Amino acid sequence: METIQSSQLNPGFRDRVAGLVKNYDFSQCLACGMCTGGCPYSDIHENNDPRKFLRKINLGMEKEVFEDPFIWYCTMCERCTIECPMQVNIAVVVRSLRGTWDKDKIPGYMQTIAREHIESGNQMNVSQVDYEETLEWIQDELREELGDPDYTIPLDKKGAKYFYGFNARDVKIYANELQTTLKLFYAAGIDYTISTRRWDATNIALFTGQNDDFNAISQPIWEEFVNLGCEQFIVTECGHAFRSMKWGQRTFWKGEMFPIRHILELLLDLVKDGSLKLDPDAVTEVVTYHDPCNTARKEGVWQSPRELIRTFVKNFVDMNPNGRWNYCCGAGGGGMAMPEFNEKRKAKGRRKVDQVCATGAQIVIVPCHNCMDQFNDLNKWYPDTKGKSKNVHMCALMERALIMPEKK
Amino acid sequence: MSSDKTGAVMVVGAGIAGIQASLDLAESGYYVYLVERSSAIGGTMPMLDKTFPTNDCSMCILSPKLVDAGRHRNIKVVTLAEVREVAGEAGDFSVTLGVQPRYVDPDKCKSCGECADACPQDVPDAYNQGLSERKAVFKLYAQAFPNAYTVDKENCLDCGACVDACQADAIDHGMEGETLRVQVGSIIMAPGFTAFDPKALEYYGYGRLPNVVTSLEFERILSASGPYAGHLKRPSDGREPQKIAWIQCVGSRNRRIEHGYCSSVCCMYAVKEAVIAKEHSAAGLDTTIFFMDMRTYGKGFEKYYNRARDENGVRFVRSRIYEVRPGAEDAERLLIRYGDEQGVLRYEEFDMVVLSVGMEPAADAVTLARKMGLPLNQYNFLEPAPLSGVATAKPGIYVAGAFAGPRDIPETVTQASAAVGESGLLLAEARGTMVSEREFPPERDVAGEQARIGVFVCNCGINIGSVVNVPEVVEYARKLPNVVLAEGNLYSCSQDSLVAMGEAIAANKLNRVVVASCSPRTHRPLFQETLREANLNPELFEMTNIRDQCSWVHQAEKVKATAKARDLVRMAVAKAALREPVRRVSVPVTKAALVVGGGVAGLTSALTLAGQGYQVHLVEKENSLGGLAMRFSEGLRGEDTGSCLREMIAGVESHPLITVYTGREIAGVAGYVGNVVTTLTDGREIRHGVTVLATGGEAYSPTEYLYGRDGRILTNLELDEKLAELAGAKTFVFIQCVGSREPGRPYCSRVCCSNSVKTALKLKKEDPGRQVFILYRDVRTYGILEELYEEARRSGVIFVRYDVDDKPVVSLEDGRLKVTVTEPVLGDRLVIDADILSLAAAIKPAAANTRLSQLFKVPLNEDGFFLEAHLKLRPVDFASDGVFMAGVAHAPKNLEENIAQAKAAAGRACTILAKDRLESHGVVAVVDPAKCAACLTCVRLCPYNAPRIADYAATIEAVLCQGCGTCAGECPNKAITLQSYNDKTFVASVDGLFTEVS
Repeated sequence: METIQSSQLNPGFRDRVAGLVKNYDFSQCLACGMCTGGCPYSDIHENNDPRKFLRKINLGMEKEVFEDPFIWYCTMCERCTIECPMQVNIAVVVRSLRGTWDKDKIPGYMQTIAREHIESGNQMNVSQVDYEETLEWIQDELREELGDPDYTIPLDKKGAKYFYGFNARDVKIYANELQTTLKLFYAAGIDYTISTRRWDATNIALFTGQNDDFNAISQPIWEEFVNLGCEQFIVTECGHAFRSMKWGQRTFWKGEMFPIRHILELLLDLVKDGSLKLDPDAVTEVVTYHDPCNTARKEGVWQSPRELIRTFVKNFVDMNPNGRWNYCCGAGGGGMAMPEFNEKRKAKGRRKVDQVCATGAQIVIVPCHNCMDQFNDLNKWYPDTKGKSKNVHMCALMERALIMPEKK
Repeated sequence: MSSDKTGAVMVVGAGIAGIQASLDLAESGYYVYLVERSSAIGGTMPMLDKTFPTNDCSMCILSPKLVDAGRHRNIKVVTLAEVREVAGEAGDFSVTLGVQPRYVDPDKCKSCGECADACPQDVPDAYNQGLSERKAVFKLYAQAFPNAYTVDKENCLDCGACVDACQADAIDHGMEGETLRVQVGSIIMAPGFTAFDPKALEYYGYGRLPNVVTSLEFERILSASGPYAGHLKRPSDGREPQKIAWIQCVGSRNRRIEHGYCSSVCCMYAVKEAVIAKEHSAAGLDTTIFFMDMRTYGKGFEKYYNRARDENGVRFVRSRIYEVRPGAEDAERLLIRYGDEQGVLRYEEFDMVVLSVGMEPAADAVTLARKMGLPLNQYNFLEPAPLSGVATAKPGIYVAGAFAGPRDIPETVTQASAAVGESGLLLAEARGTMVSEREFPPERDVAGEQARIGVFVCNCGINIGSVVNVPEVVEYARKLPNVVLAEGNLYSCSQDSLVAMGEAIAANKLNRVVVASCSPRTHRPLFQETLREANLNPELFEMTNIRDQCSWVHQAEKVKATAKARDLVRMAVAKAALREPVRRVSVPVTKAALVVGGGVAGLTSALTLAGQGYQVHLVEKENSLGGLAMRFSEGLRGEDTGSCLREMIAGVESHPLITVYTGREIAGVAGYVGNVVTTLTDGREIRHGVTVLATGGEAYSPTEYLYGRDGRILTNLELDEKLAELAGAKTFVFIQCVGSREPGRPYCSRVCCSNSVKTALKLKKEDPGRQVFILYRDVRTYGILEELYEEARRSGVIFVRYDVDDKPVVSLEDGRLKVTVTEPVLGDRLVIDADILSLAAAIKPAAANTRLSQLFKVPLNEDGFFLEAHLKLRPVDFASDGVFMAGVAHAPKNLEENIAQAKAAAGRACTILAKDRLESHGVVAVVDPAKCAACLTCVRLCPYNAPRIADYAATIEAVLCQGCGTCAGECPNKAITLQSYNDKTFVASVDGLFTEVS
């Protein structure tokens, strides 16, 4: 039992926090324990109880708050307080406090990512030459695959209906998956474009809380969208990119609002209006679907992916809980970029492992690059259980069911 | 304000608030329109199984009030009605009512249920919360008034089966709705509440997981009249649950869904449900209540909570539940993952989960209030105007019950009577102008006559006739001794049968009547009226139930049922022959009130009574008026109590009908209701008809926490007085429950939480840089007061819960005032250097209560507060007629509640003062002085203080006697008999059973 001296408590700390989160809702906390019960990780490792963390804030324990590793352990998944009766939002509090950090002292390599993104225009520091060469390579591959020597990727097309923003991993690591996505777009015959200038929709400052970085990273891509005069901003299967775009636009964009949609919402529309044809019997394995927190809980997209799945997957089993109530993969909040906390990330992932195993799934659709990395790590870390299921992006699985249209 | 006032009142909503208000109004000389949207009066109370804290059967205590309200000559019950328009002003409103057709004529309907048996259409039964089904023609519940069926047109197939089945020709599918216009002087809004629908909180699984039920559903599950006939079953498969969890604050204390308030009643009802559920379970039911703060703040509640925990074994876990999920192995079970107070995560499975749903204002009441121009609070409750208890923004319109903000039944009943008291202030001049008394012809003297008995046997349509051979019973009755007439009726209670009964009495010179039919509870008064119209004393009547206890229960055994009916009739006839007329005694009423206590409650009662034209004598032991409230700087919600009090005192002192006696106390009391002579300590004698005891309370002087040892340690009351001098103090600590909820004073003092929170808020507002700590056991800012608690947290007041086994420690070291307490969330020791320590000291009963209880012969509870006639339904009455209580004399309560209760006591007192004479209750106990040994047994036992000793023998004051028979049963020398219920008649009745008749 430690001793807290009232003289050490700072009654003004709450005002500082309120200045950061723009409200005093956090101080309404009843210490009721609902968040403790809701956090998937409050009993996974130490220093992960949102109630305890918030209590320190409300007591005015300024020093202890900043020393609390919870700030970086928290995956900001928002499950704990999504229904907080006092409207506390732990993720907002955590992000705001991270935002006070000296940029040099931010754990892991998050700040490196931010800096490189600002400098290079993408979070993986892909050079313009490499980017354009990759696109060219994809174009060549698709010409062959589609048997269409005239196929071109619609780059920088003014007035295209859809602007497609993605993740630097799509270029640097999963170029074949970008290829798959473009193939789906081709099959559906949609009017879209990809920018050669600004194309990475992610924003690591979503997790570092550094708002100057956030703006430096995302304002250019929104401006690019406006310059190209597109109608809708479509974001790749990446929860963090989707959330960065949606939340960032609500919070920081000063121009006219434009629709930002998740690619799975668009793909469902295309399947429903007949533009995309899928073989309903193509996938017979047992399949489950992981809801990325940023996509599902925070931005409300969990029904359309399931509707989409049911058009081409025969054996779909949901995890429990799912959708708005899903468990985080364990690597949210920038967890992938803080290797010093890998043991914690591994421990947290155990919840997800158990959840997946309970479904008996052979294939897990993981519509998020960050979650995907975590899922792949979980396969390695828990080879006896989770290692037996395969993790795929939705587009990759859809490709198996794709019925290419007759050539005209 | 209208000069021509109307002596009628409209009461909107016929739950317990509306019923109580209507009864009080009608007894005080006002005509009442009791308007109810459903097909029967009663509201929510009939759905409840048992009520806290007495575990009384809800229906059993309500039912007499239903009958009284339903039969009252000066209450017009308008069911299936909504208020369309209100015009006019205080004193003279015109109200337009839209009345939906019932499709059943309630005067013709015998409530036999043949229509429902014939109806092919099943509909979910809303009365049973949809756990069972009813038919499209239905009666809301068995004891409903009007005692008639209703066609639910929305679900009706129009097949006509019910019309064919109805022998009474009561059903008419062509009935049309109507518009009624009524003139009233005032309006009492008592539309009640709606239970929160937990489907809005999908995480609790309600509607998805069948074994998650609402608390109201659980009431129906427990109820003998419920869907499972009182057997504890879980809905999914009917199996008896072994383990049940209650989740508190479902739809309450939740800002996210704009229900920031506390619903006030859920803690207590959950504890009660857990206790009662255990009683229902043979196997030893495991019960757990998940809660945040246990808010057992009402009278007798804390003891109930302690007993539930310590004796009944109900488990209490302080944790708000995040979600309910299907069980891991058995999906019909329910898994809860929760963090305990130390933050340890636990997983537990239950067979059932009960969601303790809160209250919210009914949507149609909100619409109506808006239409009437009544401003609602942020949650759409019609909160009373500050320090009024019942007033709304519009003169002449008052509010009572849960629509005024969540509250329990006693507070609802209190507020209803208070609204009547307040309404009386407006309408006093019109009192008695619209009511009527029923006139009966003079009674024939039957003394000395040989008994001439008429027996009427009812077929009740086919309810009795299809099982019991009624003609055979009639034939049999004719042969019984003293019987001169026996007849069968299709319906004995129908208008034509009653007329025929009256004629038969005259034609055959009958002097005793026996009716063999249904329940005396509902029908005895009807037949007795017929006797009175036929010049007979109503006690020359005997009734026997050959339906509920004969034909209905022996349907398969017609011969035996007929034999039993013969036995029952034979017993009734034997008893009837010995029945004697009972003369009602009446006494005049002294139209004056004595109010004891000159605090807020006493002042309010005095003003409410005097304002209606009654003389008031106000006695105060101190030399000045005002009481403890004179020491408050403001009300809980910032009201200017000082000027409110000064206004009251000035009003009392200048009122021509109020005489104030300060510096004096009560020395002696003689007489009884209507006619009391009270002597003061200065020898003065006061004659009055009623008494209001408003003695207030006293502040506990703590022995704990070094109180008295240092000038920085104060009580809350002292802090309030000193506040202005403490501008420089930076760190404040409040310790709650000082002297309350402790052995020796086990009750909750109710106001201290809100009081400390209010003061803390004020301190923070003055200087946000201050540190203010409130160390508490449970924060009991119930109802709308929860807003204060929330605001305090938002303002940075720090709340630290302490355990009763690990209390804060106060120490003085080197001039430093130190408070040490365990911080429960972090598990750390918190050491506070305090500038001021304020102790939320208990409220004690007034020392004078003991002596007054002896003088007025009224009881105290074990805590020293006055004990009401019934904790639930008679919260301001004593069991002895004519004595009432108000304010802290009854139990600790805040200013607003004191004012409401003081008005209620006045309202109740007016039901006596409005009458010129008081009549005895009919059947009373009488003493044979020759047999009486003046042993005092009756004096000691009588709950109503009716017997007294005069001239070495007991006499029983007829107007006080309630006819309970306790004294008659206990009198060792059989000197006391209860009229109409004497040994002789019962022996005759039993003899009748064993008499062979040829």
